Amino acid sequence: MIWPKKFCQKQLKTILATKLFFDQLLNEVILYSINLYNSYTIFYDLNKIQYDTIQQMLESYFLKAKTDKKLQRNLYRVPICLSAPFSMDWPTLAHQNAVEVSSAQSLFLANSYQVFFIGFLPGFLYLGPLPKALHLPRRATPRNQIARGAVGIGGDQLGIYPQASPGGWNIIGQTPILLFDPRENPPVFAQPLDRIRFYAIDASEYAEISELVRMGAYELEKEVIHV
Amino acid sequence: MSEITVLSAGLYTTIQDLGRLGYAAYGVPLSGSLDQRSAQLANALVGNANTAAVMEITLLGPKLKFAHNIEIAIVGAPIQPQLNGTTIPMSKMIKVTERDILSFGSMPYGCRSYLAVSGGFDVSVILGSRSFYKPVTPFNVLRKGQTLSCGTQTSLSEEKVVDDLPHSHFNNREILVKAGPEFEMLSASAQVFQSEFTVASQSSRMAYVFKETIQHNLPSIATSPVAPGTVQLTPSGQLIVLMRDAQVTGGYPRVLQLPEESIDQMAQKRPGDKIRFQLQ
Repeated sequence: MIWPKKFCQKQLKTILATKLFFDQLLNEVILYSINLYNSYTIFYDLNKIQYDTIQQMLESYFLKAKTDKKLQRNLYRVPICLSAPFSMDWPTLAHQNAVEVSSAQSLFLANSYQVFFIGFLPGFLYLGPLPKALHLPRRATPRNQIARGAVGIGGDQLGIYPQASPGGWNIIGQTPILLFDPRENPPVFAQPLDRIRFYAIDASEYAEISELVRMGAYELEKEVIHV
Repeated sequence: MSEITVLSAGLYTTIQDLGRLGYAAYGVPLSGSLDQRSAQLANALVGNANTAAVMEITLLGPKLKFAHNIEIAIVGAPIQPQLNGTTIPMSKMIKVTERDILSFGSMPYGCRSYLAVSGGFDVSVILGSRSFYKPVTPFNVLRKGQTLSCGTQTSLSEEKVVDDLPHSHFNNREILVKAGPEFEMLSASAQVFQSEFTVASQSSRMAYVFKETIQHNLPSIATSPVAPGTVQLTPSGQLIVLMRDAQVTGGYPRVLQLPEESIDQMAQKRPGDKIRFQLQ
């Protein structure tokens, strides 16, 4: 099912309510399902159900999914080092958007960002919406190696690389926290509708937190929110 | 509990099962045996359930030493298996005994072969699966010197044999496909179906790519779900057939979709093989 393409909390709630409802209703035939910014996709077992049947069920039950209930989520405070070499592309962003680096950074830190979904790589958080002054098209040529924890801007999207990987997004900072931990279940701390607020740290704080993360002794600060 | 020591690892040898269902929402790929058909036959021969983990061998086989008596079966691309230097048949249950050494010869065609052991390979279950995939599992491939455990041995009353897979499973050039969600956007569909594509050497468990490109003017799409078998078309005209270790979302138009049987056949293509896509 597809909704209009927009970064919208209300629409995401509708999509997640739809997902919750149909995941339960079709539990027997669904292999798995995922939500993205504006879609809910069902992967189902063709030996158990036909496309037409699924489509009829989606049409007849669509309005039954409850979307008005408040959901409990978390607002996480995520440390980020914005200076070089943890960031590379602030000068480009400032130049292209005709803003000062310092004011662009203040704007970035002043906002909190909603988790829309996780994709691309295990634990890659897709965040938004991003203020217009921070939009920056993806790089024409991707970099071969983006560091684990790198925070990137790809057009109007904001994301965090959970592992070292090639990537075409503009890197504006890096967080020492663990985005994906297969020893935990679920392996990712955040879920759709959670929010992330970044706070700036310097290189020495980055090293300290990295060490705590390595020892398994670091805990993210969070507060409960209702969305 | 039976043990197997990896004397040499081969080119790209992994442990795989049906895959890691239910973690796509965390960005975790499905993984699992690329050629599920071969893997399932191998499991059946040693009396395993289809959920048992098998060893996926790519082009160049490993060398393995068994510490206990156990039943094994090898199914998939022909790879001249030998037990203590003596050739043994494929697609047949074989009893191996303590200190036996299994090695492999060359693979004249196809790309992947599967070794099943009675009880299955008992590597750690992480997020619901034994399939190797870094960073979910600590390693991508088997390493020399590593020791693998197998599940409890079941004693089979009779020797089992299955028919060899048809030659077409490995050498079929026509890959049957269905239209993908963005197929209608594709005005250059004739090129997709009339051209021959050569498997490029960068092809992997994540994706198959080809030397040839096609001309088109399709825009990128909003980030959308992709699955094993999804064929994406990049702005530079490259077709990408996503395989089982592929990412779960993508922003390129999804022009075609391979059904399961076609994914199995694609998994048997090696760099240099030529294929055509045929609309089902």
